[in-house]
Amino acid sequence: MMGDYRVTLWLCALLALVSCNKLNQIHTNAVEVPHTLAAIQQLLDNHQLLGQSHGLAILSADEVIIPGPSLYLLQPRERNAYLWEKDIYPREDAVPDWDIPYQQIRCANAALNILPQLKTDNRALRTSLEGAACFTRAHACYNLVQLFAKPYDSAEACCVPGIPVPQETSIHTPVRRLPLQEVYACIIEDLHRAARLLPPLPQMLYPNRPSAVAAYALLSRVYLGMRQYEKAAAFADSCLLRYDTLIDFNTLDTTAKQPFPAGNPEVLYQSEMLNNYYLLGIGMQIGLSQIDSVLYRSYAPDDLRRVLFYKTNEQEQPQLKSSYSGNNFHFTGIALDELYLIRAECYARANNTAAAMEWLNKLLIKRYRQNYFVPMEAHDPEEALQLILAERSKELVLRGLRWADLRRLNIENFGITLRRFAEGKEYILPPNSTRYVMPIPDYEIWLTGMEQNQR
Amino acid sequence: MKRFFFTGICFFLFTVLRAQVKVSLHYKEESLHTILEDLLFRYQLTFFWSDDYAKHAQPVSIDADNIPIKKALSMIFSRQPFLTFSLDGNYIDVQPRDLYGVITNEEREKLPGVTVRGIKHTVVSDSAGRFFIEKGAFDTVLHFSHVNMEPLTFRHNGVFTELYVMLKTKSVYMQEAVTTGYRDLEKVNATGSYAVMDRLAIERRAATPLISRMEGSLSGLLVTRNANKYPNQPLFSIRGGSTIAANPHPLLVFDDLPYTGDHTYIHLLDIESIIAFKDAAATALYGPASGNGVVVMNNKKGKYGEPMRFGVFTGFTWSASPDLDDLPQLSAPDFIKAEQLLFSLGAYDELLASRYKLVSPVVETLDSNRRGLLSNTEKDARLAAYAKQDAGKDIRRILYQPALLSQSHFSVSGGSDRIAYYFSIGWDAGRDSRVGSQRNRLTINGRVSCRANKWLELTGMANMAFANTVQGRSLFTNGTPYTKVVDGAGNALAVPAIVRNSYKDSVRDIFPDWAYKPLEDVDLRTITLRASSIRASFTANIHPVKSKLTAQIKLAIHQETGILRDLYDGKAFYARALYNTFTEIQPGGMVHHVPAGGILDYRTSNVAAQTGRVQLRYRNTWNKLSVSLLGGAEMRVISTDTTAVRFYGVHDGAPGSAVDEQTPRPISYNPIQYGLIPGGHDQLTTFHCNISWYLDVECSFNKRFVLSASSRWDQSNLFGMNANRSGIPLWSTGIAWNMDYERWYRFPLFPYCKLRANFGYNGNVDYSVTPYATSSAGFHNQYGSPARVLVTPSNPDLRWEKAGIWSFGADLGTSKGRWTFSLEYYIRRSSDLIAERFVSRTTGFTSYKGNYAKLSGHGADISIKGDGNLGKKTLFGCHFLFGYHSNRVTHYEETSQLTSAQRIKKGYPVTSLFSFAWAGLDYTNGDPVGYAGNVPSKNYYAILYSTNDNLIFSGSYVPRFTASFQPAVRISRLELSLLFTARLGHVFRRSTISYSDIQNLNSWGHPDFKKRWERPGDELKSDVPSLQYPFNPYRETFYLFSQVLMEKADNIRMQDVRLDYIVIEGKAKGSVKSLSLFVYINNPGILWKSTDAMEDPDYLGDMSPPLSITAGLKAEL
Repeated sequence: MMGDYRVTLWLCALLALVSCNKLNQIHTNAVEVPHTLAAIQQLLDNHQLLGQSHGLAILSADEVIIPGPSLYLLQPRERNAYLWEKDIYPREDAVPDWDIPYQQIRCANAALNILPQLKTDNRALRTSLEGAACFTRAHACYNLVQLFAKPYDSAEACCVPGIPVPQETSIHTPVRRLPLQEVYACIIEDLHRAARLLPPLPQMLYPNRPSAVAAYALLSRVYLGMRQYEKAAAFADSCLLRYDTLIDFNTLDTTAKQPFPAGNPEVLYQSEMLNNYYLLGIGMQIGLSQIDSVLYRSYAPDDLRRVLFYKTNEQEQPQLKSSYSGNNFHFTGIALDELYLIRAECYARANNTAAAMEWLNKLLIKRYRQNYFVPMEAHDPEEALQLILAERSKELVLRGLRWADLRRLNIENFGITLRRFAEGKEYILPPNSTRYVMPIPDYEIWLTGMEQNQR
Repeated sequence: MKRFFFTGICFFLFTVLRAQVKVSLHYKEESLHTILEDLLFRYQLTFFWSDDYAKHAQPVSIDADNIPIKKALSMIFSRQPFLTFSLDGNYIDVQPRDLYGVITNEEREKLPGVTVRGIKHTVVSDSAGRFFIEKGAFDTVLHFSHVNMEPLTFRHNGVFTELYVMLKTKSVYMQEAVTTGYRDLEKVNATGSYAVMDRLAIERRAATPLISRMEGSLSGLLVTRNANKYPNQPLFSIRGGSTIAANPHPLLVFDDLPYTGDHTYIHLLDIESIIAFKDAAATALYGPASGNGVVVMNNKKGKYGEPMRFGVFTGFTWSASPDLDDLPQLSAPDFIKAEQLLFSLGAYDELLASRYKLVSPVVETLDSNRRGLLSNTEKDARLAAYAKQDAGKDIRRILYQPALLSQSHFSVSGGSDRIAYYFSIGWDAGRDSRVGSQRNRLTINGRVSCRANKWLELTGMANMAFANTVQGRSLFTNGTPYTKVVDGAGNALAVPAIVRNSYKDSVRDIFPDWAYKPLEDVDLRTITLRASSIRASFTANIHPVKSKLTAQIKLAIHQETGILRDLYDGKAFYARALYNTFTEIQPGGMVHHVPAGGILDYRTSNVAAQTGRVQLRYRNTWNKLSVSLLGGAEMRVISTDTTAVRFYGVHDGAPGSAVDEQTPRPISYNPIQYGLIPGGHDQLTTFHCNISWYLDVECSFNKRFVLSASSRWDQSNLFGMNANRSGIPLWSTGIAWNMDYERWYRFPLFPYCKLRANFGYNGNVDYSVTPYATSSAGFHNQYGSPARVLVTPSNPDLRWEKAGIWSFGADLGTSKGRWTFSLEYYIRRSSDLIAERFVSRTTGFTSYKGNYAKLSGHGADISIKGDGNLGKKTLFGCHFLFGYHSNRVTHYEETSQLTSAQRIKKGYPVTSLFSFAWAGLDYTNGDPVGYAGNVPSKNYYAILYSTNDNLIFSGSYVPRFTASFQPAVRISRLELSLLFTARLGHVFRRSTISYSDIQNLNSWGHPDFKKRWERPGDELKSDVPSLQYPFNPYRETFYLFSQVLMEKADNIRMQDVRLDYIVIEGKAKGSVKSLSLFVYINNPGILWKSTDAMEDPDYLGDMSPPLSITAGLKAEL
């Protein structure tokens, strides 16, 4: 009888040994726990998710006109944002402008969480993936903060509610809005880290992958938004010193449907408009929505952007031709031309009129028909600034940057009032209005009890 | 007190020689002891005597001279019924006689394993039914007991030869010894609740699937007929289930091991019995998969020493073609009226403003007329023609047919002393109610047991099933009730689909063929499913001779493969439509994003499971205490692999070019819309590994009290990021009191009486959750890099679901087991239930599943079974089942602010249906009126979205009360049985008119259209709101979920009728041992329902199952 016991005990022990080892190693598989560098790379290569930005910001800014007959085609959210209604998304189940950036942050956080645990020989790849994750998080945060928090004003930034900035992967961490200053600090810290870790130059074949240059460029954009113009200038320089390739628009085919090449060398980081906004996207190309005619008329006749960016329909209404990135979707990423404009603006702000105009003309000479360009001149920094800002809206049209510019400039008493006529009514967005801040979706408030924006 | 005389041992050595001593004895009615003392005195013959011999000794008369001592003693003891002697030299050893005998049943078959209990001794009869009690003659009162036999108390007054004891077979009720899959469980020892269904009951409902066969035969079983209409509902549950979002299915056990895979591959004629274990007593042994109960299927086996038997079953089933008229829909004239009305209100203006949006032919006619392209007379003529057309008739003809199924099953079983075997082969073939469908299934089973030697028995088993299914015709869209599918000459006609006919005409140059002609199209799609299931198991039972310890090693592998092939021909509308939709017109010409040709979806699924078990069992009996100890370890590994691939541009089976399914493409007919080309690529592999340790103890005191306890420790790879979450200890403990064994128990009405109670924990697991952050790959980004998305967040706190169950039961039986009653009551508290919870989107997720909810439930099961004689050749039997089950969510985090009429809410059953309070129709315009707070309101938006307080609990969609009644009567050779089922105490949401559905051509409308509010006063006789345009979606939603549509679903139906004619029965000799013919009618129909609504509450939104008739024969050779 003792024998029986012993045999069985051995059998049990063996069974337990074999199985326990296996148990700890294998988990569900194709819906797979990402635990390799390749898997992290794939997470960060999910351009379908990570490469989306800006929607409401474009709708609410003053570049787009939606003619009356098209208004009814808008989804309620689009219509309310376009007309600066108080309540933008009544009880909607999903607001992509809120949800998508946070999904991007989730991706970045997952990568940042897993990467340190991976044992690998490929240190370079791990470093660059870590940098890419930091960049992604900063980019998403910056886009969120432009919509859901007040514009940055150093005087009050310490006490104004910003947005939640998730830093970890746990779903149980309580969610709260950080003060605006802290949000910006997080963004800047992430970008500094990204600039340290990322490969220096953009990869032409993979414009969706950020580089150190892109991180400097975004830093420059962020500081510009914070109206810290010296720092903005410094990071624009950091970027331009490393990478400076402007396209001469004279080399492009003005009759082509898509004049910009798919591998546009000016593009530092590829991102496209949120793909839920059909009327702004494909609708723009077929005339359901239009570019503001004042803006269109501001292009000089020899300005090549007039024919490369736009086409006109039978009623001579301007329509957007194609995207800066050479595909069908609106480019909302980071490109070099923006940095020229930032550089120029910062010189103007620093009262260096000559340098400001020099940088502006360096850009414009590539935008005008050859031999027809007369370099612009300004007598004082004020005039230079006006010229530069005008060129800014002409160059960066529909990139989603106008909204941030409006918020920033109105704080500086530019007094830009937006007006729209729709359904026989005039809608007005006065400067520094609370409606420059989008409400946080109701479902978020309901779940987390976070503070809603006054609007 | 005992006194011993122990004399003369020292004389032993020199008295040996005196063995042949001769004696002379003369006594008359002298006591035995006196004679022996005399012998000691006279002849120095020592003897052994015990005090209690005196009362068993008979007086002796003997008159003999000079005879050998041995002969003299023989004469003296020959009249002693209880005493005997042995002579050793001059030492006479007086001792009680041995007691032995043979025990048989009424058929004089020898009964092994009968416990024979005397005053001092307890023995068990051997394989030849013999028992032997050494020196046991003083046990004049003997108790015979056996699980299957009536207990017997036998008083003997001294016998000289063998005892013949005949025991009566117990009633069915006390006979049951079932297997839990781990061990045999005798009914007397059971502390838990279970229900058994025997072979006859399984075979009774011929040609139906497992679930229907169990209904009406297993108490506590609940068949959820509308399962697919509600979230996470299993097709059947035991005591109503105890989960919200996790696996709701009871665990299926086959061949003593959990069965992974599709149970339709098990041939039900290979099943000897089905047992449902309902509470924690047995299921704690099964671990985390048992939370919803366990259904054990015991396969048929051959028996050692049984002659070879052949079983034959053959049956043929015919089912009526489904009746489309059962569905609530509008007839062609009514539908046209509705469209005309909507047209006059301008409901189609927006659709007509676009070139391509789909409208019906009637609307196109009306539009042409309005635009002056069609004269009024012409219009009226067309409409009149449409009104005469009946599309339903065409559809019925091209789609449906009576289903046919033929089934045959052959088996052979038997055994010799060393080998027992069972082999079977089953072949089912037939067609479904869809034209063009085909199905067949071949099952092959074999089971061989072999007694290798005295202590080892080896069993091997193999089950194979191969199934081929061809799905029949289906439609891409139903069109409208008046769009003819076929014209008088039999030509195929086009039906509106996807885009408008006029648009199709206008782009004829670009897209040559946009037309959808159902008659031609129905045969252009072929769906075939080829599946196979192969299972093999090996068991070694080790039972060392005389050891109380037995061991079992069991290994099983199971592999199930399915290949689904869904091929659209290049000419099929679906393929053409995709080709057309994703054609982009560019300056340089057309770009076809979808290649021309057919579309092939290919889906393979693979389930492989390996199970191993090692267990030890120890059984012993000490006097009144018998103990059974069982312990073991089990390991299960289940891996699944599902791969789906879609090929575009298929020509003659050769796959075409690859298609980019990630980049949004413009939709050819809608200039502002982009869409993704539907992809069919999917790949999923899962791996689950469970290790469990279990221990089961059963103690029985004097047969009266039984104490049982079992416990199991499970570990799974699904859980365990936080250390204390990895395993789950499940345990149960129970007690049973066999009251009828008590001496004082004297209730003549119920000679059998047993009370039992147990408490324990079940577990449950949701295979869709994992504590780890998971991601899914398989697509590329625009730059050609492989990409991946996160699927679930990490949740290190994830753990098993747990259900604590109190269960009480009483079993009563009348004399001879004619009637048995079983009453059971249970209380269940489930905690850590996995539920979906909405989380802040800042986490990047919308919701995730975690252990959030608690549920409490209770219920009762009653089972009454009886039979009897009504005269000489007339027998009757009946089986009545009643179940009550109810549950209530006791903890649930309400995580959505939006009102939804179908939701989980604290304080209400999981299966609740909620509705909006109804305040009637507005008498001015027929608007539905609800309540916002306590005030009647037409602010539908506020009603729908403000708070949850506007929701009224209307009831549960799962019946709270179920009952079934199965009477049977046998007159001579004819046997008739019927099954009635009742499902009570639940509600359903009846269908009604949705005006926007008519506009969108989503349905054929609803007869309620005719009852709608049209003028003041109608609100008194109707609850159907008026038609108003523009549609207010909130108004429609409010109405569709309003209280007025809630209906009681109670119904009683006659489930089936079976008539058997027994030609030959129970013949021991001859080539045909039994033969019977039967006719079985399934689904004769509903007898009563509480609602006036048109639909059958058990088959919502669907047709009632058609009547089917099976005829067949069953024989044993």
